[in-house]
Amino acid sequence: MKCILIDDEAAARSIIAHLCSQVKALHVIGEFPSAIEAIKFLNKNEVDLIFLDIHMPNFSGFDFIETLKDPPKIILTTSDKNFAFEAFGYDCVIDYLLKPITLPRFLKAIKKAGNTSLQNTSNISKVDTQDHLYVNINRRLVKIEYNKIYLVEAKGDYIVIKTDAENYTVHTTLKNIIEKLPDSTFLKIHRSFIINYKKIIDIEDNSVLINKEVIPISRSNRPELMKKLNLL
Amino acid sequence: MEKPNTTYIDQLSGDDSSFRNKFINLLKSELILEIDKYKKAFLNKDYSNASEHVHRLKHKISVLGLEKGYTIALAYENELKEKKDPFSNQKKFDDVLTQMVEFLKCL
Repeated sequence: MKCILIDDEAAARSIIAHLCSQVKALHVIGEFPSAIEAIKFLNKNEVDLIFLDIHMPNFSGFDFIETLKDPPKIILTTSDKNFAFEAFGYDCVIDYLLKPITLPRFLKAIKKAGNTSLQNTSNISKVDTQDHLYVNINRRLVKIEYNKIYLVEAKGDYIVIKTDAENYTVHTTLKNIIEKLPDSTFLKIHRSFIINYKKIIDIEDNSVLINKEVIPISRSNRPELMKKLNLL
Repeated sequence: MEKPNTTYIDQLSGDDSSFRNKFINLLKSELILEIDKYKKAFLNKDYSNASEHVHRLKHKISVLGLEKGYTIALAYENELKEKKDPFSNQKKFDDVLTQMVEFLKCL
């Protein structure tokens, strides 16, 4: 597994590099004190795993993730417990390590990184008709028509599919469901939200109003949303 | 008062004394630089920048096993972010830094 380390603190990079050296399957191919330098490297090189510090000056770990079109697996490293909830809003984040990182905890994260590549299970099935999907809720397959969905929200290990009539909580990720939903109607506008953009009521600078809910738009997703709209 | 220790560094290094020495040297040099940057930012009343340096120093505080020191740093970082001058944790934090520098000198 090819990996890179991004942390503005040399001692932190040294610790992670040393921990990586204990695992045969891991090959550290780059160490970067800033996310900007890592982006340049990633433009030319493919990696399987990134150890990423969240709290860095100028360009945070979350800003960095937002720049990646097809992010590899990411293990976040931080001195703060406060970011955990936000961290798991990203599908690519597989673990969250609190510094100083110990070997047993590190190995647990690496095990997860290995497992996630094998996992391809989903609680969502697409059917031929293409106008609806079935979701697995409490061992029942429930049919939901695409045109009834106005919002899909990530909530930790779950997503909430919202329709006018009902909300459905499903154990899966936004990444899984976006693959099932038609591009012609749905768009991910934030790391935690997919919207049915045909149901937008209005848009302000950094948010949309959809069925009485105000949903934030990420800077990186805004241009794509604007392209999809029939602007006068 | 709690004292710095090398418990974490020893666990991390295992039998690898070469890594241990290299890491301690890195810790010493980076700590001095970060303290310097933090003090400059504080003297310039750039409290936001000072809080960033305190944040980075927190990791080193915990690497040296200073749990109470970490709590002080966390509280101080928040005071700096919120510009709560006078900073009630400043002296306690500076004492933690002094203690760390003195400890590392002996390694």
